[in-house]
Amino acid sequence: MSAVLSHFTEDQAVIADSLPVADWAAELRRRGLARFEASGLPTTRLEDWKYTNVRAIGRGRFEPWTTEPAAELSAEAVDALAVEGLDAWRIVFVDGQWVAHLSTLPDDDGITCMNLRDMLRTAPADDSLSDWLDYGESGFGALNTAFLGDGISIETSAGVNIERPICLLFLSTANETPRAVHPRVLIRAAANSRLSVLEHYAGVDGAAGLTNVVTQVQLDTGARLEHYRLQEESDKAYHVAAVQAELGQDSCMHSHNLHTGGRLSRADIHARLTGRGAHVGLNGFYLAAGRQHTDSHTLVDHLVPHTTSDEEYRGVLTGHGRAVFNGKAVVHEGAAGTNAQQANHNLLLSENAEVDTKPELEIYADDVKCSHGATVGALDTDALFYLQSRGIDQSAARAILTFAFADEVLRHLDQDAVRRHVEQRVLARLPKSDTIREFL
Amino acid sequence: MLSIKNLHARVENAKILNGLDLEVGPGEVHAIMGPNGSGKSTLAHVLAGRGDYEILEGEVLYDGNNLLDMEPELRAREGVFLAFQYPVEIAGVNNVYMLKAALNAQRKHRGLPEVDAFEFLKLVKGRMQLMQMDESFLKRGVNEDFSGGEKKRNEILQMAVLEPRLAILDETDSGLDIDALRIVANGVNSLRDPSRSIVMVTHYQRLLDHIVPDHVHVLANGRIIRSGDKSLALELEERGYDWLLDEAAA
Repeated sequence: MSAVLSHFTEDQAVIADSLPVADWAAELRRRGLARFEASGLPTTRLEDWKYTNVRAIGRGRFEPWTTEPAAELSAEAVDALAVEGLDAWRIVFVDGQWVAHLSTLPDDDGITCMNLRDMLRTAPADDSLSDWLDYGESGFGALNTAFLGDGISIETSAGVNIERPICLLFLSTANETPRAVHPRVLIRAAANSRLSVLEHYAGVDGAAGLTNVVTQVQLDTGARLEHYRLQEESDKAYHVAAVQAELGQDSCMHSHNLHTGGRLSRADIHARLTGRGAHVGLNGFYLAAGRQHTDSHTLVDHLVPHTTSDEEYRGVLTGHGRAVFNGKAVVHEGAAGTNAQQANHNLLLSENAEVDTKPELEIYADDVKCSHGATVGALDTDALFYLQSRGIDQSAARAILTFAFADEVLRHLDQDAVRRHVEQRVLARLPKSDTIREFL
Repeated sequence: MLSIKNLHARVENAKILNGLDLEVGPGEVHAIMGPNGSGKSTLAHVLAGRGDYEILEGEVLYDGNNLLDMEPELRAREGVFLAFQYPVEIAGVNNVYMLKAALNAQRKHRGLPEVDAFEFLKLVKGRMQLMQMDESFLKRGVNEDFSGGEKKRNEILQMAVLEPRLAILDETDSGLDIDALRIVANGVNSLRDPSRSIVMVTHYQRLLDHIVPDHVHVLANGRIIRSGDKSLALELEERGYDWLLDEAAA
């Protein structure tokens, strides 16, 4: 084991004591740690991590999450970081820890939300948690298992429609020693149930920790999930996320993956379409400014006949911002009648910004409809001149066109409050944004 | 109003304008005709301030001020308007917000109070009626998925709202059927005013049946080789350009 990794092993021993769990969970943690020690953190020699170097995370000294109360955040401070005007159930995690007095759990019939900390202590073994190990190939997933300690399990009963979204608000404080937190989110929707879950990651200024989250989704026949990831961590924070979704027959998931924060962020979203008629929509937006680095990897496995996927990711890069996009769709043997569409568009606003984009298709079946495409470009000079010729100054015209580019994806967000929130964040990063607010 | 003297310009390595002279007085309507590649559209773009063109020689005075020194947006705020031959589609930017921003940028420049959303909507709806555009245009992106004719009508709608002092119409008649041509021409005619000058670039006499010019010029190889009144256009319709080109060469 390299020296870089040993501190994770030491820290894991710390949480084994401070966050005691049932035997099955302790065993799971040990298996996770063994996996992690075998794999280590990914290096740029791995194809999937070629453009994202996480050495800084390996070298970083993070405090492990413990049962020690996280820094206090007032209800006002929480509200200031939350999505304004979003009517949602809200479960607040501060530095990875569920804070009951800041949270309001859904009281509808047919939905159960459980604190993962309690589950790990008192509930019987949960197969979903151990199943994950098979996917945790990058090392981060194994690390998450090794440090299992908090998070949430959300389960619906068959046929229910949970109209109010459930917002999981993960907040990071600016600790003297930054923390590493490894939340786990389980979403299990029974047949024909519907729900919206918003994972919102935000930090106070200067929060420099690591969030390493794993989300596992299981949709039974006919279930529908709107899944949002709003990554708005502080510009010093590290964020690594894996979403693994299993989609049964006629189920449908819309994933909205929105990255505007963090110093280095990476999300792997993997949808496995295992039942006929399953559909996944992957909607993504990333904005990297200053020295931010953001990496979005998506993978869709079309495993049975007649499944569909539709993906559009857009990115705006300014300053020395850097983005990576890798979208892969695999049509497995026998998966006839697959329809997989994929697009990635990038806008480069400065000479120092960079994007590496790679859409990939692997097809092992006949009778499929697949397309993919990627573009990288600057603002359209014809459109700029057109706006200028109407009296709109050049910098405002640039802001208008940049915003319009982003909004092609953002306008598909079905939660208006979230849409407005993200639009405001994008605007805040654009010069002359005051002059174009009326375009909203 | 507009005084162009000995204008030479090139784009990339092709020299397009070769000593063009033109005087346009207040309230006058000038038609610029000429064969393909004669420099008509270049002239329109140079006047609006498109950056791809390099001015090699000459001057353009607008109300006595050096137009060529001004950024495109400043020209617009000073009352210069170009109706594009190929209006640009801008997905995601609302047609009406763009127009309101344009009007307010101009008003601010002139020290006038900005118009609010309510006043603006009233103004634009009136002008849309003139252009026979239905209210769905209010909600659409700038020229987004507009037909050719809709785009041209939208250009004149913008002109009607912005009320320029110098309007340059670049082949506004191209791609229009006869009904659309009549609507566009009516729009332009309603904007004729003793203080507003119009320069129309066109291939065809038929536009001039609807918008009758005070002066007609023939542009060839980047210079004006003949000027006259509206009868010149009729003569061109009958005889083509070759006889003029031959005369100019001789």
